[in-house]
Formats: sequence, structure tokens, C-alpha cells
Amino acid sequence: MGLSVRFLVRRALYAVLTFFIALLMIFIIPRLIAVSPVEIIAASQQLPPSVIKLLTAQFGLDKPLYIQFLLYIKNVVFTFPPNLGFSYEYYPQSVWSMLVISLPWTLFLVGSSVAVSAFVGTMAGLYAGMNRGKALDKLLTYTSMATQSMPYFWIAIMFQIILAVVLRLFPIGGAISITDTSPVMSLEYIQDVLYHAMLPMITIVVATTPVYAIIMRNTLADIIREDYMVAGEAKGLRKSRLYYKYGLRNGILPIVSLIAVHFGYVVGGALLVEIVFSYPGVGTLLFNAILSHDYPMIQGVFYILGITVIGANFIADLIYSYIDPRIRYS
Amino acid sequence: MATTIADIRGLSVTFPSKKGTVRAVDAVDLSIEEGSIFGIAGESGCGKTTIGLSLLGMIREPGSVEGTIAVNGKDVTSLRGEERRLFRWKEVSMVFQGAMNSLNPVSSVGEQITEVIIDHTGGTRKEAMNRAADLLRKVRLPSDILRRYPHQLSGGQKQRVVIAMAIALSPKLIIADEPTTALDVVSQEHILRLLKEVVKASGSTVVIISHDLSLIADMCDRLAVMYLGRIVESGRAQDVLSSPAHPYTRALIDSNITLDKRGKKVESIPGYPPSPINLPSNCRFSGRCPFATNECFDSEPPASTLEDGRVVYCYHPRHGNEGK
Amino acid sequence: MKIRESKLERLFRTESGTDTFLKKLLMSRGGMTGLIILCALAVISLLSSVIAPYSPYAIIAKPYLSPSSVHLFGTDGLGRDIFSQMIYGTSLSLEIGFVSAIGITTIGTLVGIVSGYVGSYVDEVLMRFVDVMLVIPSIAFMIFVSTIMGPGVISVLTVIIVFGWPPMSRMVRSQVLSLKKRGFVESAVVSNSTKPFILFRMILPNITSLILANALLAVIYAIIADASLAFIGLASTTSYSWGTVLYNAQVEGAIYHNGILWITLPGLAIAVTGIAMTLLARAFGDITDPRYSTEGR
Ligand SMILES: Nc1ncnc2c1ncn2[C@@H]1O[C@H](COP(=O)(O)OP(=O)(O)O)[C@@H](O)[C@H]1O
Ligand SMILES: [Mg+2]
Repeated sequence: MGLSVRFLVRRALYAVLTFFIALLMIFIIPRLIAVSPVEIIAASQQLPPSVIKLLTAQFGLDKPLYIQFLLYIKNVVFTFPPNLGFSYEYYPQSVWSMLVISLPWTLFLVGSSVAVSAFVGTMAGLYAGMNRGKALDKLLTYTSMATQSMPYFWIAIMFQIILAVVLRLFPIGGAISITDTSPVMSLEYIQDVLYHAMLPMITIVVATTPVYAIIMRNTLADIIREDYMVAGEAKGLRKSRLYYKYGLRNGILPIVSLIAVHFGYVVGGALLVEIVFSYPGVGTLLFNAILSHDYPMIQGVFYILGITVIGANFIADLIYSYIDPRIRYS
Repeated sequence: MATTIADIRGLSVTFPSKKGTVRAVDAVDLSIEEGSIFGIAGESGCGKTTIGLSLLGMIREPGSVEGTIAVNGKDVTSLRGEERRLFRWKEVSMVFQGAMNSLNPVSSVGEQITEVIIDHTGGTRKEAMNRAADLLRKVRLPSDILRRYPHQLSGGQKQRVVIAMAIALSPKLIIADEPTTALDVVSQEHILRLLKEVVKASGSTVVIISHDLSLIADMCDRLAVMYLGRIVESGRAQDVLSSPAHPYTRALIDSNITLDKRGKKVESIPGYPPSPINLPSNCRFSGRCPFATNECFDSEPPASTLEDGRVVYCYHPRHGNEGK
Repeated sequence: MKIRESKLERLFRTESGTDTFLKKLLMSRGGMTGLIILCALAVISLLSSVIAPYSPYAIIAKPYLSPSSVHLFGTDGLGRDIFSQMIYGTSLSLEIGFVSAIGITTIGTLVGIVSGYVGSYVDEVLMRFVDVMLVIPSIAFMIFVSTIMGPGVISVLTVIIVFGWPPMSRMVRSQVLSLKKRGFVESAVVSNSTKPFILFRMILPNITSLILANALLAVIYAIIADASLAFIGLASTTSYSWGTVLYNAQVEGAIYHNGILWITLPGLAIAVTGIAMTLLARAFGDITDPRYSTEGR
């Protein structure tokens, strides 16, 4: 397949640029607001001056800002595993080692939820958009209005109350049963994991499906007016062909890029959902780090989130260039 | 006497809009003989495309259709569902205005030709592909075009693809809506010659829609001239063009129109056409007509039939020729 | 029903621009509903000290009391009246919502207009930056920044505005671009009208209702963002927004202390406000671009 190399190189450069800007923000914001990370730590932990001195040296904080930044880049980009420092709360655990444990849970949660909601949302949006003003369209408009108006984590709490506390269908929180001693990858283990992931997943799916659906529907509002759509109908094509080859194939392009742009929002929301369900992902890690003022950990979480979201965007670009023949063959 | 392939009686098509109801087509009668080439002429916005779409049963909501349209003995307005789907393209096909945009940008040419064939005849993909290659040959395109995507084709090539598609199912009636408008002069020539050739070979009846009278003169046996949703004159192309009976037809011929696509105005016809919203109940051309008298401003002229069989809606037919 | 409508119509018979606009807004069922809810919320926040029976901070009863006629929504873990907290919360949540929306709209509109109108490399740089901001998970970065700034209303407002304007600027830019191509602006450019004239007299008036619609959506975005920050303990601890009430309900284990109302109401209040804003925004949007409307034409 002759993927457009120029397009991909441009998008890759763009992803790298985004990543560096994100790193710059992670690096600079604490320094803009406070004098140095060490001071923030000191203020919250009341460290003795001798320790401050030691930390200053360790961070290279006595050096000029750009040297510090280069040092930071060297540590987090050109070192593997990235040297993100040590957690204050769980010293001597390194930030990286804790992220590596939490990240898979978050990726699992967000990945599977986004897969479900992108699929369901796109389909619902397709049918609503091709049948404007009909029942599904109306239902969709109102559902999305409602879910878009609710805080993500509050939906989580509601599900928790109704489905876990009252109806006892699902566990209140956690990712696996404490009693679960079955070996990883056994059927019991997978069942247990899915059982625990159900509520957070339902929450994310409920909160994000209408978003994708509405985007698809509104995209179709434009597509349905296009000459090729009128021509397709005039050609007496089967309904399924009109829906999938004409509506979906043309409407999916904006959806793919919007799923990518939206991914950050979904991840951000998922962090809060994790907190509600004490799900052992990055969100809960972040929450605990915030409570204990564990700054290296907080920075580490944003570092890993940045990579994840930017990576997802780049993958979306790949998919986009693959499914759009105007990019594929140009 | 030749049989009538399409018969339109009292057709009105209206669209609701913010400013009021748009009467795109208003009480139009037309009958088209099998095997002929019929022309519909008129300024942009007079309702030509709308008539074409009506013949396909393609007036979408919230537009509404009144009157009867019979194509090949079928009542188009009452067709629904699967019956209507199969009627479209199998019996009436259309080369859309702006053929450039009437191809699905994300499918290859091959896919787009074969899908029509498969959805109507249910054959295999392979058979359909052979047929598609055949069709491309008929419109003088190499068969490697099948694998191309619309954005990789030139304007002339797209137009040929669209024509190939229109003849794919050998329909009884083919509507060609402004088939040359967006093309350069050389391609225009080619496409017209091709269209003639293809039509002859297929034996289909063709309706050519154009704002360009010279094109219609060149191609058609009979024609209808439209003004603001109404037919003002119809008859044999030769007769109409050599001695126009309606002052508007006269003006159209004189203007030697070179309208742009949006058809902003016809230079030599003074004034602008009134808007199709809130139409006057007098002769629609009266405001721009140099021969208008009181009755023209007061009431709509009835149809009168001239000795050569022409139908004209004017109180003063042939008035336009007096100066000559 | 019929009579009421025609009365309304008579009220707004004059056809000047704003009048038809207001008329259309009031004639749409959604717009009217949104407006009524918004007015009710405004009244509650203006009269909060009158409506609320207690101070939201005052410990006036036993902790974790169930809802009763004395304490409509019960009391929290310290024995404070939740109804009063909700009433005062209305005021702060709306303030945060509207102040943020004004900030977001101002920055977003400015950047969008400059980017769309000036074009070339200015546009390129600004939009690249906006792209980056859009990709970055804004709620996560808000959390990041406010952990460093420390909790408080100012830091909440700052982060919401700083991370909230990019989508707005995108929208404004694309509107400006499409307007630039329209005949009347093109001819103004050709006839040497001054730039400020074109921008403020020709382009801006044509996008105000769209900007307004998006500003309304920014209000709910800000209220939700505030609640999210509050939810992880980053909102002000000295004043009550709906988010703070929700946070307290969560950390004080409302679910286990008969506190279903306590934990449900703040979110419900946010949802109702959000629906009102969305309805209003939609009514505004429909007036300018009926294409996406669900209400029949
Ligand atoms: N779907 C539609 N909705 C509203 N108005 C329409 C629609 N289609 C056509 N019209 C209006 O009907 C009139 C005739 O249009 P059309 O048939 O396209 O004219 P022509 O093909 O002769 O240029 C025009 O005034 C046009 O604006
Ligand atoms: Mg037309």
C-alpha cells in the first residue's frame, strides 16, 4: 500500500513537536509558579535545609534553566527506562516502576471503552444522521445533551450507587478480588478482571458514546447534501451500501480525527472514574500522589499521559491516511 | 406515431424555505417520445434540474411534488421502497450537473460502476467488473481507470465515467443535466460527440438539460424553454430556434448566452427574473418583456398551439419576430 | 395554546434584527426552557443568603442526619446543613461558570479572529499551538497546574480559562475563514475598507450568535471542570461550589450514611444547568445554522 510518506512524516514531526511542548509545560509550569520543585516539596513536607540542598544538587537546580531542561529531556527521553525520579510517598520506588504497574490498567480501561463507544457511537450516529428527525435521532440528541451536561465522575457515582450498592450486580471498586489467587491469564482471572472493569467501562461508554454519535450525525448532515450522496440514492443502490459505503466511509474520516483529539478528554475523565471505583490505574495513582504531595509522581503521571495521548493521535493519523484514498494516493 | 416514454402532467414541485415556499416547478406538462432527444432550456434556477430529479422520484423531504409523472407506464410519484429503488437507474438514469462531485470520493471508479450493476442485477463481482471495463471502452477510457479514485481523474475523465455509469443498466431514459458546463471547450466538444454516439448505440431516450440553447439546437429533436418554473414554449427544436414564438425564447437566443455556472444574469435580457418565492399571478416574464401589454401584467396567458404544433404561453406569440 | 402563540408574536412584531432574534429564541421550546432554568438559577444565587436557612459552614446539628423538614437534604459529616451548602454552591458554581466563560470567549474569539483574518504564518503558529493544546488532556493538565498553584477560586479560574479557550478559537477561526470568502466581505476588501471596519462591523456581527452559543457551552464546561478539580480536592476549601459539596459527599462516605440525596443533588444541579445552557446554545445555534436542528422545519 502506497501510504503517503510525506503526510506521515509531517504527522510524525508534528507528534514529536507536541510531545516536546508537553514536556516543556510539565517542566516549566512548576518553575513558573513556584521557584523550584524542591521548594514546593519543602513547603509541603517541611524538609530540613540539608535535604533541600541535596535535592537541589540532584535536580541540577543550581544550574541555568535551559541546562535543567536539557537535563530533564536527557532523563526522560534519552534514558531507558526514563528516569522520572523517585516517589516521595513510596520511596525508594521509582516513579517509572509504579507507572508501569498502573498504566496497563488505565490503557485496558480506556482502550476497551473507547473501542466500544466509538463503534456504538459511530453506528448510532450513522443511523440517526441518515434518518434525520426520526426517533433515534431525537433520542440521541437528548441523551447527548444530558450526558454532556453531567460530570463524568458523577455518572460513575450514580452507577456505583445503583448497580453496585443497591442492586449488587457489580463490585463497588477495585480491579480484581482480593481473594483472587488464580494465575494470571487463566479464565477465572480474566473473568474476575472483566467483572471488576464493568462499572468503570459502562461509565466511560455511557459518557462518550453520545459524543461520537453526535459528531457522526452532524458530519452526515453535511454529507447527505453532497452531490455524490444524491447520486448514490438516484442510482438505486441498496440501503446498506448507501449507509456504509457512502455515509460511513465518508463520515468516518472526521470521526477518526475527532476520536484522536477526544482521546485526551476520555483519558482525563477516566482518571476521575478510576478514583470513584478505586481502580488501580494512573488516575488513582495521581489522586494519591496529589493527596500526599508526591510531585515527582505527579510529573511522571503527566509524562506518561502525554505519551499515551500523543501516541494515540499518531495512530489515528496512520489510520486516517490509510482509509482516506485522497491521502493514500497522493 | 411514436410512443411516449415519459409523460408529465401538471407537475409542481415546492420547497419550504425561511422566506416562503419556493415553487421550483409550477404546473408543467411535458411529454417525451421514445427514442428522441429532448432538450430543456432556460436560465439557471428556472427548475430544469428539479424536473430531472422528479423523473427519478428524487425530490427529497421537505420538498413536495404535485401532479403525475409517468415513465415507461409507471407512476413515479407513487413508487416506494424497493420498487422505487429498482426503478431508479434501471429505467431512468442521470448524468448529474457537476459530475465532478457526483462521484463518491472514497471509492474507486471500478467499485462505483460495479456496485450499480450488482445492486440491480445481482450478478457476481467478476461479471460486473467485465461489464464495467466494457462500459469504459464505450466512453473511450482505458480500463486502468477502474482502479483509480475520483481525485486522480481529470474533469473530462470524470464526466466520461459518469456517462459510463448512466448507460450501465441500459435505461429507457437518460437525463443529462448540463453535461458540459464545468468542462473546457475541447472536452466539451468531445463529451457532446460521445454523448451523441452513446445515445445512438443504446437506443435510449435522452433529456438534455442546458442553459445553452446552441448546445440544445445541436443535439435535440424537440425542446421546452422554461422560465421561472414554467414552460413558456415547447415544440420541434428547429421550429423554435428558427422562429421563436415567445419573447423570452427570442431573448434567450439573442443573448447568445454565456452564463456562468451560477447564472448571475443574462446580459441582454433587461431586468432580473423574479424570485420563485411569491410568484406573480400574471405572465412571469411581463416585467422584463418589451412587448408586454396590460393583459400580460394582469393575468397568466393560456397555452396556444401554433400551426407547426408548437405550444406557447404568451398573449402575443411571435411578437418577438416582428422586428426581423 | 394557539392564542398564546399569536400574542407572543404580536409582542415581537417589529422586524428589527434583535427583535426577530429574541422572538425566535422565545418561540423555540428549547430556548424558552433554557432561559427559564437560567433565570431561576440566577434568582437562587442572588438571593442565596435569603433562601439558605443556615450558613454553609456552621455546625448546627448532628452529623449525617437524614433529610427532614428541618434539614431538607440532611447534614454532612460535621453536622452542617447540606441544603444551605447547595444554595450557596449555586452562586459560586455559576460565578465560576460565567467568569470562566467570559475569559474563554474573549481569548478564544481574539485568537480565532486574528488567526483567521491575518492568516499566513501567524495563523500557522497559533493553530499549531491550539492543536497541541487540544491534544493534551486538558482536565489532567488542569489538575497538574492547580496542584502546583494550590487550591482556591483564582487557581481554578486560571486553569479553566487557560485550558478552555482553544476549541473556541478553532470555531471562530473557521467561521472567519468562511466569511472571508463570502461576497460582501470580499468586495469590502477590494473597496479598501479599513481592517477594523471589516473585522468589527462585518465579520464580528455575523458570528456573534455562534460565539454566544459557544460561550454558553463554555459555562457548563467550566462548571464541570470546577467540579472535577473539586472532586480530587483541588477546589477552594473555604467556599462552597457544587463540586465541593460533591467532593465532601464522596470523601465523607455519603453512600454509607443515608446520603443518597447529598451525593446525587450536586451532580443533578450541574446536569440541569448544563441542559439549560445546551438548550439555549442550541436555540442560538439553530437561528444561525438550522442545518443541525432536530426540530422539524
Ligand atoms: N432542495 C431544494 N430546496 C430548496 N430550494 C430548492 C431545492 N432545489 C431547488 N431549489 C430551488 O428551486 C429553483 C430551481 O432550481 P433548479 O431546478 O436547480 O434550477 P436549474 O436546474 O434550472 O438551475 C431554484 O430557485 C432553487 O433555489
Ligand atoms: Mg440545474
